[in-house]
Amino acid sequence: MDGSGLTQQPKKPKLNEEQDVVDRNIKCLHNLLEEILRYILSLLPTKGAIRTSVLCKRWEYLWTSIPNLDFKGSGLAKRNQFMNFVERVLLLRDSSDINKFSLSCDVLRDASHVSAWISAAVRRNVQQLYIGLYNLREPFSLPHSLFTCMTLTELQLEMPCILKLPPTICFTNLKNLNFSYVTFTKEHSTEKLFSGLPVLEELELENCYWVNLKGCEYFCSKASFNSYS
Amino acid sequence: MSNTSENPNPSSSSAKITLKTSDNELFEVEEAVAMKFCTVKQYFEDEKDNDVAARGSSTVIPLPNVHSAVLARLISYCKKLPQSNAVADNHEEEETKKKERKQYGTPGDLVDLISAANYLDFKEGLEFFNQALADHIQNKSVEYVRKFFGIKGDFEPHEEEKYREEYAWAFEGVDED
Repeated sequence: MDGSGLTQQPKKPKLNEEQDVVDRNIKCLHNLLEEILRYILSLLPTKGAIRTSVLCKRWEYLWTSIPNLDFKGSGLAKRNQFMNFVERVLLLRDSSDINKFSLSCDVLRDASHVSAWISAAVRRNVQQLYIGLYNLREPFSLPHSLFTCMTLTELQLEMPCILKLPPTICFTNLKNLNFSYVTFTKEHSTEKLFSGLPVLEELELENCYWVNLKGCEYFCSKASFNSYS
Repeated sequence: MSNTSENPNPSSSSAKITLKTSDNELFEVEEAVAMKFCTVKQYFEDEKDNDVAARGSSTVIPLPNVHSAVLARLISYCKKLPQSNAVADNHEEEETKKKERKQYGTPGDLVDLISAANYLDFKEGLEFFNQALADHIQNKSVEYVRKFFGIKGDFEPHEEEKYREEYAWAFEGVDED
């Protein structure tokens, strides 16, 4: 390994000169193992990781195993670009597990797409799931598979609508649960939700609404509970 | 060039381990620091098992893949580990950490540090320097990253154009070069 340049003063890289620095970088980058390049990619935001596929052919498919995905839409502008991007990334990604999945976007009339994206994360054994869904035009159901996801340890759900719950709910590994702007309506299923959390440590409810609920009991020995409205 | 001045100052009475770099420089480091490098730890423990290292600090552990300049920087990084590794929980802290990571020089320097951290199986270091390298890529245009890292694009123009169309969203909102 060549460390001869390390005692030089750190320079601001000038892009059009210092050919020696560039040459050294080429040599060095080629020294890095693919495994390390993948590690570096895993530390980038999703958009940045995907951009590296254009760098050169060696990088073309390196991004496909990134374990963390974040998708943040930006309103109506470039809606199609955003939708295509999420679909392509989920479709072309390899079958390795997803650790962290963040999705924040308007749903509009694309409820089935959005629901499928969340299902895709659940199928890849997602551990941390952060979902923010806005502008819902029709009653929205989260995929049922989410409510029995065994790998999930953290769930944040911001969704200004009624939470429709499936008949079976069991989060065997969920430790942190956060609901914001969610409306709970059915007593029976809500109670089921809060009793399907055997290892929960922290529950936060922010600006949630309770409609037609007389009371809801929640039994847990370990959890700390915060409620804001 | 000599790196002896960067060698750790033996200030405490804890056990020392001597590391020998690829350019034959000797580094005497505190055991606690050396044990952060799993490769060294493994070597050290194997030696202990073989009863060779009963003499303790006089054992020299060879690191044929690590240059003295790189090792000196890794050791100095090790000494500030506690604050470096604290989890940033707000934007300000993240910015401070970013600045701290920036001090580790050009991508070429970082690549050397990453390769050494990987060889030494030094997990915190590997994460830190990988993040420092990632900072150089984050929010940057493809052209910038190519120039910065000396990567030569080898796609046909129409292939590259197609990628840019298919992933148009990813190319939105990058920093100015």
